[in-house]
Amino acid sequence: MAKEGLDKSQGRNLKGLIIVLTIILLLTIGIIGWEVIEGTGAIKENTVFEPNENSATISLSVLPPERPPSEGLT
Amino acid sequence: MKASTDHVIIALLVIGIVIAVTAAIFIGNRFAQLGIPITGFATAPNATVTLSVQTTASLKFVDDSVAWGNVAVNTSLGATHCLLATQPSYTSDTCTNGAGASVAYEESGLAIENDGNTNLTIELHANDTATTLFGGTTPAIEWNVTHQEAGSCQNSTDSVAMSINTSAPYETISTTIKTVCQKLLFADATDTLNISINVSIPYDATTGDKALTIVATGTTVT
Repeated sequence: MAKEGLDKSQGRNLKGLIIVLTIILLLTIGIIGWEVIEGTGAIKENTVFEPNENSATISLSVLPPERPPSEGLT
Repeated sequence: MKASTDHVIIALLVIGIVIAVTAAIFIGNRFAQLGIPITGFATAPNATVTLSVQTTASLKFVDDSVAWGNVAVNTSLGATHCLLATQPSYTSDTCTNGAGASVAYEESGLAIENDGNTNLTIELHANDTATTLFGGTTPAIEWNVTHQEAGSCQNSTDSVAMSINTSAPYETISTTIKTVCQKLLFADATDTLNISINVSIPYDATTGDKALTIVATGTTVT
């Protein structure tokens, strides 16, 4: 009878341990996921690379001539 | 029942070890980022440090924009084309800003720098041509690559040279890849090229906002 009570107690302790460890596991997975998404820390160092291609832009807005070409061109 | 409990405990132990190691890595990394490296007591006063320097090909436009704003052909003076150039104090009577004033200066052109630690072969190409960008009668867009920092570019025999810098330096932009420098050096004092731009907009060009993209690619070269 006393042994049965001890087994029940151990079972409860085991369940509690499983719950705690499960929470820790989920938190750790969350941290790793966050690191991957944010690209910070150790993971960033392994995934960032510097591109060797770059671009520049030339821009302007073309307006109509100040007066029609038929009147102004020579 | 006892064997089953043992298996659960073993599994939990393994999971716990994995969690502990992973957490230790992240904690150590975070402390290092905060400038608080985790260290231990050194029992040996001398140590040997070894490292390997990574070769990095990196190219960037340190001046990545030429923006002239509003531009109109000055037909009042009989001009048929508006001529723009990225030169210091450049003025042209052939253009106005559409409000009777001169077009804004663009004195420096584009500038591209090798900010890696290896020499690079530089290639350029544009995403469009003057004909498709402006339309009209004989539009033109030209580029000219020169040293912004003297001695930045060498040819294959290590002489200072440019692929585009001949007696007629300006040439029509290319939508296919064009090699403009065989070897752009990476030393800070000699690692930058200038790309000057000339534009000719005809009076019968299509109106509206225009944007041309120039892409530079750097490939490691010894």
